[in-house]
Amino acid sequence: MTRRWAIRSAIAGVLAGVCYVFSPIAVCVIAAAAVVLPRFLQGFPDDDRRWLAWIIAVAIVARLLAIGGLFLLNMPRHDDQFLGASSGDEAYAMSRALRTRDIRLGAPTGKYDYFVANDDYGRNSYVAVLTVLQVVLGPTPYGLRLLNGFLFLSASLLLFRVAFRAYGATAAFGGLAVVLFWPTLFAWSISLLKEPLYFLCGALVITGVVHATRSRGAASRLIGVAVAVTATWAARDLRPEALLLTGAGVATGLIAAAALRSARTSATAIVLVVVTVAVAAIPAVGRRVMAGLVSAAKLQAGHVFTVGHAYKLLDAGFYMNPATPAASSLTLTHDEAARYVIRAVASFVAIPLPWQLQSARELAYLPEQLAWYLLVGLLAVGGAAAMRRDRLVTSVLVGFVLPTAVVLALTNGNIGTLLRLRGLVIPYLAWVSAAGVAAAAETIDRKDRMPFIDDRGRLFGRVNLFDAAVAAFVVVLIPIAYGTYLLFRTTPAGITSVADAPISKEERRVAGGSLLEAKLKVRGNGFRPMLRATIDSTPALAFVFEDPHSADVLVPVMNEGRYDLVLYDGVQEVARAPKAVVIGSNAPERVVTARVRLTAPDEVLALVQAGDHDSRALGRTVTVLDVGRRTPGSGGTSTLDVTVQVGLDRGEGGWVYRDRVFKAGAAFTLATERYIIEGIVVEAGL
Amino acid sequence: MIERSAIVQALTKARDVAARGLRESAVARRVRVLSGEFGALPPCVKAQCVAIAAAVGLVVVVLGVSQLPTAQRPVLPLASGIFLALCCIALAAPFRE
Repeated sequence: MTRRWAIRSAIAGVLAGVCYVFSPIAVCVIAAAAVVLPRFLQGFPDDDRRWLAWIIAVAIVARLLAIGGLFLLNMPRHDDQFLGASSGDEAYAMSRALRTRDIRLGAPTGKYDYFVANDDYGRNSYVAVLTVLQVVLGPTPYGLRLLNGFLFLSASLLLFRVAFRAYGATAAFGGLAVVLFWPTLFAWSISLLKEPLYFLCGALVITGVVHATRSRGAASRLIGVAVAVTATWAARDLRPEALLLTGAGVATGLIAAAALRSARTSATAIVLVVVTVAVAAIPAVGRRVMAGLVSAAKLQAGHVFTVGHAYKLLDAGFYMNPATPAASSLTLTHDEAARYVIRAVASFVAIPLPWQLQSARELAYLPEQLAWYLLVGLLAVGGAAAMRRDRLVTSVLVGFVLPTAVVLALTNGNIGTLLRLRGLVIPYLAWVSAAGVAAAAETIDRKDRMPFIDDRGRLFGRVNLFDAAVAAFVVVLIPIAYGTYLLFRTTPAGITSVADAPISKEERRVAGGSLLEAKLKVRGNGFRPMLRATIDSTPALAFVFEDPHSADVLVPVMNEGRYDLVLYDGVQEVARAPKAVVIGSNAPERVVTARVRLTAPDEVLALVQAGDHDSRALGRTVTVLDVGRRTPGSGGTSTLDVTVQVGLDRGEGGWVYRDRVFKAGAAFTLATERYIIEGIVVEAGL
Repeated sequence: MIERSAIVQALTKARDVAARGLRESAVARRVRVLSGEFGALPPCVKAQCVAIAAAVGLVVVVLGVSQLPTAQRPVLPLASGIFLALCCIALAAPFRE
C-alpha cells in the first residue's frame, strides 16, 4: 500500500466521521441508499435506465434542498428543546420518542414524561422505530426526514418496477413522476410522519402479491407471500384497522382480477353482487349495516368538531350540538344514511371544490386539486386501458386502495385531513391514470378517433398535444377554477357592529325561562342559521338568525364587564368582535322600602324572619327588614305584614320588580331557599 | 409523439446539459480518476484503505461526539459500532466488482 492511498483513506475517514457526528442517521441512510437504489436500476433498457437514474437523482436533490431549506428556516429555533416538527402529529411522535430517550439515558424527567412514553394513545411500530433511533443516534429531526424520503423513494421504485412490466415505459415513468413530485406526497415523503413507512409496507404487499401470483416456482411464490405477509404485519398498527384494510384491499384486488377474467366470470360476479345487496336488505343484516353506518357517522360528526376547515356529510341538523363519537346519541333513518353515503363518496373525489377554499394556504392547493380531478378523470380511461394490459396488477392496485378510500370517505370531516389522507390512495392510482395517458397517446395516429390530431401528434397541425394539455391546465383550467373561487366562495363570517336592543316577549319566550341580561343586534356578513354565539367563553342563550347580514344574540345573566362576542360554526371560530359586549352594573335603578302582605298557613309564615333574602332575585335587593303581626284568616291561612327593601327597574307601565309592575295592590312573591309565599303590595313606598 | 413535445424536449436537453456539466466538472473528473485508481488496486490494498478510513473515522466520531452537549449526544459505544460497520459498507459498496 502506498503512502498516498493511506493519506487518502485517512481523509475519507475524517470526512465520514465528521458527517456522522453531525448527522449519524444521514450517514446510515446514504450507506443504505448506496446499496439499495442501484438495484432498482437493474434490468431496464439503457435509455430507460438513464431516465430512471435522472428522475431518482432529481427526486433526491429536490428533497435534500427542501430539508436544507427547513434547516435554514429553523435556524433561530435550534436548541435542546427543538423537535423539528412542522405539524401536530410530527411533534407528538418526536416528543414521545425524545421523552423515552431522556428516561432511558437518565436525563431529568417528570411524571408526564413517563405518562407520554407509556401512553396507549399513539402507540405504533413507527413510534417504536423512531424511539430506538432517537435513543441510539441522538435527536435526529433532519436525518429522520432523509430516512423517510429514502423509504418513500424505495416504495415508489418498487411500484415503478411493477408498473413498468405491466403497462410499459410511458405509463410507468408518468406514474413515477406523479408519485415523486405530487406536492402533498413530496411534503409527506420528507415529513416525520409514519406515512412513508406505511406506503413502503403497501408497496411491498403489492409487489409480494403480484410476484406470488405471477411466479412459476413454488419457492418464488413462497417468497412473494412471505414479503406480503411480513409487510402486512409491519403495517398492522400504523393506521387504525390496518390489517383489515390491507387484507380487504388485497382480497378485493384478487377477487376483481378473477371476476374480470372473462365475460362468464364477470356475469357471475354481477350476480353475486346483486345477491349480496339482496342479503343486505334482510332486516337483521340491514340493521347491522345501519349500525356500522351510524358508528361511522358519529366519527364523521366528531371530526367536523375539530379545529380546522370542516366539511359536513350528514344533514345539517346533526351538527347543531358538538359531541364526541362516544357521547353522541346520533341515529339515522334509511334516507339520511343513503344521503350520507352518497355525499361521502362524492366528497372523497370532489372536496374541496375551488370555491370552498378559505385561506391563502388552501388556495395554494388549488392547482393540486385540479390535478387530482384530472387524475380521477384519467382513472376511468386508464382503468379500461390498464385492464387490457394487465388485469392482475390493475385489479390489485385499485382494489388495494378501495377499502381505505371507503373508510376515509365515510369517517373524515376535515379538509386538511382529507388532503393528507388522500395521499394514501394517490400513489397506487397514479399508475393506472398514467396508463390512461399512455393509451390515449397510442390512439393519436387513429384518424377515425382523433380527427383534430395529425400524424405527428399535433393539435390542429400546430401544437404538440402534450404541450397543449399542459398549457390548457395552466392557462385555462387554473384561472377558471380561481374565478369560480372568487365568485362562489362562502362569504367569511364577520361582525361589523354590535348594539343593545330592547328585550321583547318574543326573546323571553326564545330564552325558555332563562334569565336574560341583554339582547344584542349583531350586524355583519356571512351569517348562517347554524352558527353559535358565545360571550367570551359563556354560551349565549340563542343566536337568532335573521338574514346573512343580521342576527340577534340573547345574552344570559353575566357579571359587569366588557366581553368579546364570538361566533362559531361547530367548534370553529368564524368571527369575533373584541370587547363589543358591555354588561353594565346590575344594580337596580331604584331601591324602595315597601310593605307587603303575605298570605300562607301559620307554619309557613312562622318561617319569615328579618334579614331573609329573595333567592331568585339575581342582583336585585329584596330583603326582609321587619316582620309584623300575624292576622288569622279563613281556610287555615293567616296574613303577615312584612317590611321589605326592594330593588326596582324602570319598565313598561312604571317601576317593575321581576317583570311585574310594583305598586299598591299588585301581586308579589317572596321566595327564599326555605319558602315561597304569595302576597300583595300594601304600600309601594314610591 | 412524446419526443416532439417541447416540454419533453426541454427536459431531455436539461438532462443532457446537466449530464455534460457533471461529466466535465473538475470535481467529477477527479472523483472518476480516484475511483478508477481505487478500483485498479489489489483487493488486499482496498481492504487496508477501508480499514484505515474506518479506524480514523471511528476516532473522529468518538472525539466529535464527546464534544456534543449531553442532550444531543448519541449512545457512544453502540453508535460507534454502527458507524464502523456502515463506514465499511458505504466505502466498499460503490467499488465492488
